[in-house]
Amino acid sequence: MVDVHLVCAENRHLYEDAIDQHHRIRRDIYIGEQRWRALVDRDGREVDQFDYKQAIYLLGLEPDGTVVSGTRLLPSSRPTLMSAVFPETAALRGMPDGPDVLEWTRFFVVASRREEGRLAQAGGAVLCAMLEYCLEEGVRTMRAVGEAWWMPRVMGLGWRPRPLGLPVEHDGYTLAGFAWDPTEETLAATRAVYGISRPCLVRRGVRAGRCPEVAHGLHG
Amino acid sequence: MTIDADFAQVRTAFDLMDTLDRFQTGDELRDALLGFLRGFGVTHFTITQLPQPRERLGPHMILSHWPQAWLAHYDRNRYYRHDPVGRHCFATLDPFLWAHAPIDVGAQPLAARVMGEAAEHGLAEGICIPIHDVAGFQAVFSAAGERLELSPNARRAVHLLAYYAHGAALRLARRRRSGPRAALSPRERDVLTWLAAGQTLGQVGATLGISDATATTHLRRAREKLGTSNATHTVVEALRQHEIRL
Repeated sequence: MVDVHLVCAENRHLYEDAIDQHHRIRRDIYIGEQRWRALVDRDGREVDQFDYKQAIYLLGLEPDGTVVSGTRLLPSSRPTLMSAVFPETAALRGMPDGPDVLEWTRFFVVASRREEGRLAQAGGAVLCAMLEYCLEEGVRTMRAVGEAWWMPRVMGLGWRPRPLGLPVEHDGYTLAGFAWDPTEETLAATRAVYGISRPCLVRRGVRAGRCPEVAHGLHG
Repeated sequence: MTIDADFAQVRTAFDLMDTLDRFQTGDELRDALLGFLRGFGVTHFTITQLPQPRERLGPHMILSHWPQAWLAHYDRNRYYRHDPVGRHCFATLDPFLWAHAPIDVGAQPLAARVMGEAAEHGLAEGICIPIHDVAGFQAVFSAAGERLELSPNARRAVHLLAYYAHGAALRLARRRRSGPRAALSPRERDVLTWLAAGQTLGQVGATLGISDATATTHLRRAREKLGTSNATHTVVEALRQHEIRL
């Protein structure tokens, strides 16, 4: 079973190796497999303009420290994929923003942990940990730019995505902007779909309410 | 189509997506979708799971307004395995017009005939939105009529709407069938899985190392839980509810 570790500026020094593994995995997946042309291979790693110090990472680690899955959350007060690159995906309804709104980006599962035709447990752990994090931190709304065909899958997890604009064709992909509210029900539904019955989020060296930006909204 | 009219249709589509969750019956949902889609020349639509090539399509439909005579003719002749539109759903993630589904005469000798006869039943032009659900099962939203008029923005709006329609139709179908029902036992799932693979009940018993009578009992219990009428119906229903996979 994969534990999902929260990594942000406050505890990043504990996870330098895991963060580096994750940048290498992102290169393999987004540049190697998916061939996103906008991305740059930086010495075997994929790092973009949104890997700033306020970014929050959730990394699925095996007991020996191997990264097998993960995602990145961005504060909506900073530049994000949606606000800086694809604002037209939210042209109709506008982007939700504020200290209690995060943007979901770079959700991945390493190839060896994907399960043909089935939901990958390593990915489910990350999604459940993300919802746990949102509930603990008081995140009201999540938003995302993703491939449009993901929307029925997200709905199948029990999330209720709201479309923010018409789908946009880009570089051979059809992208859609959507938002949803993380709730206890969403977490329960997602756990049920994956057959996960325990909390997945691990905090080392950082208490709830101590990540930048989100903490600012809650406590400042 | 003026820009303003185009924009008004997109707005209407988004408003409709917001409300689909509230419909209580399949009829309400069907009427609301048709009411909107008629503006683009759509007279019929179906939201359906995509079965294996040798199967009938009708039992896999989730919510439809589809010509009865055409569906009966289509299933009687096993046209699904010759249908280029159904086939193309497995080749793309993006919406496509029926006319753009490639015809491969080698793989589907009757493809042109299927499309021609569909046109005779009022389904001359159509649009498909393939849907991949969370368990990797495949479904499609397909809408058709004599002549479709879809601007690029209308197509994009229908694309999104299809996902919401599929979600709402699944929710209603589950509620209609079930109420809270007892889950299938692992053994009941085993029996249905082997039946789905084409084994007879006798073979299933041998495979699982249980008697014919026990296999029959597992099937009967599964049938009672799913509210189905016979073995085939039970297998289809178990597949559709994602209790088993092929």
